[in-house]
Amino acid sequence: MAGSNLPGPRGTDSPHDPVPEGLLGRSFAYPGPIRRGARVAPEDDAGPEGRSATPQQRAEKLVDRFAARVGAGSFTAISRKRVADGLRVRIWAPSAIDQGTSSLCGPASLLFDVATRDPEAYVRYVTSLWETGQGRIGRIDVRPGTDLKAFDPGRNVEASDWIALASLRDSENWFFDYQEDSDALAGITLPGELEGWFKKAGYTEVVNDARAIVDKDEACLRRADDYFRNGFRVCLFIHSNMLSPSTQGNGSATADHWVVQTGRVTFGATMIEGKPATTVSLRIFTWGEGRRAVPQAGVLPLDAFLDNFYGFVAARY
Amino acid sequence: MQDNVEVTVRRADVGLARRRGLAGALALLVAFPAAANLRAPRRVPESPSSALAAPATRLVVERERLTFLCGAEACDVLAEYDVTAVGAEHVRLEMILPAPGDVTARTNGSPETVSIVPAEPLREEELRGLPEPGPGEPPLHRAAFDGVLRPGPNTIAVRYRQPLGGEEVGHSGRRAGRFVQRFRYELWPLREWTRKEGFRLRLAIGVERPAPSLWQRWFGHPRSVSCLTSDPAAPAVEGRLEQRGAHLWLEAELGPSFPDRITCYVGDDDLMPRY
Repeated sequence: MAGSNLPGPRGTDSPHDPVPEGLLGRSFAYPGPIRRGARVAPEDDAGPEGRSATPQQRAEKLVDRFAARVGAGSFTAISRKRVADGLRVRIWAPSAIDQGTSSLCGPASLLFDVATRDPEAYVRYVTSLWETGQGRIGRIDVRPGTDLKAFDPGRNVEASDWIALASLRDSENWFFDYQEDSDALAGITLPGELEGWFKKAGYTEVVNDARAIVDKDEACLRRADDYFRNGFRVCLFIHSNMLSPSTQGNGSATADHWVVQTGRVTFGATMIEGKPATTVSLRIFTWGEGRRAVPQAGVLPLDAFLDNFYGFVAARY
Repeated sequence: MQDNVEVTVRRADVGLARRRGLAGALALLVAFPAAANLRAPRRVPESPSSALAAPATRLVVERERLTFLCGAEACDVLAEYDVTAVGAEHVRLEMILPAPGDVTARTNGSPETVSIVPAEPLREEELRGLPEPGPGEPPLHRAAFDGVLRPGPNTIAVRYRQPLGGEEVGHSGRRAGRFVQRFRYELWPLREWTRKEGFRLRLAIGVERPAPSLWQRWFGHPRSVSCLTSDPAAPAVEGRLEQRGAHLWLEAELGPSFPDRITCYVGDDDLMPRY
């Protein structure tokens, strides 16, 4: 079973937080693509146009061609250049995808994986949305509404992120209309919906072990970590209390946020107010950070974590 | 007649679908109040400062006195080291800075010339010790100066300014949260020094805060300060809080063992982390 009884590390990587199997490359913002058996070609034998070019290099070429084309887009308030600039960053650092002031953490969790696993597909999805008003992620046919396509997110959400995330959210909403970044209610993504997106996006194995209003137990967290260790992309359904040392001790009644696990769960032990306590730490993708530490500082008691943990959706392509 | 029945049934179906839709929407409203799928918090990224790196020559450090006097956006930092030199020494001292502002350094009261350069690339020991930078964190800088030490006890003092970072907490989709400010200080460079047995680091953090009234203490959330360590075995910096004049002071002593870093938080007292 994952984890040990040793105190876990804080703030720095260590053997307790190894790079998981299937993760290639590593930087502060980007843990690398998950793809079973995938290997990045060495730079010196990777022609940017040839078959040996990396997925990132091929995706960059797609962006270059997109940027060189002319003509107005379907997203009338967003320029072609803004989209291209945003995509160029996200090809190499998918964790730059940032929901910003929008409530689009569900779409961000799915699309973080799409951009990581298949940057070319991500570029095609976003550029097609901008140019034609339609895009595809596997079998998900994304057709955002007119209001959304006319909205300028300004500096609240980066332009390419807005097109990718909000279009998926709006297109999949059957009742609420998602048309601007402050539409919190219309931005809700429930576990069953995220599960459905992964399935329609072509993921062959999808597990939904999440619920919205009753928190989960340690066994569920360990199951999530086992899936992570086995190369699944694991999206954790949490209450954001756990993301700040100021609120991590507060309980919650419902989940309010999706994050993506990017580092193994480490169990530790400490003394809190004179009593022994099990602690937990891990790394996640959220809000544009690829390896945000949980906890940010100090320790996070397992009980406090579980009070804000509502399960997970795990998927493998 | 048949047509009328079909129209009526069709209208009833549409009505039922609408009612189901509204019921579903109401259920979602009940299950997810204002905080549905949270937006990102407002954030001010920050970079850490560090203790002085151990010089090439053999010095013994007896104690460090570390004082942060924090205003609204930054802290004035004074780091004082008591070191003992075996003989007269000419030493080069370096530290990591969060911003390339004014830095003054004195050895035994004499001002030294300080050079500040971008800390790029980071050295191997710095890469081992510094936490991964977060997105948008300001680039690090390296301050260096040469000091002349006399045989026996010496004092090295460095002053600089450390900007406060921070993050919004308790926000929801539409509601603004409250802001908790923070700064980090890296202690791990002290591990490379030869430390005197019983080495102590005296930490004092002062934050601007008028003395709160009785009403504010009972019903409000006056500004406070709290520090956490990177050591999971002792996660909280245990210290004493005291109001002195227009400042609230947190004073603590670390040592002889100490964590790799401390992260200190400034904000409403109910938002101060405890461990």
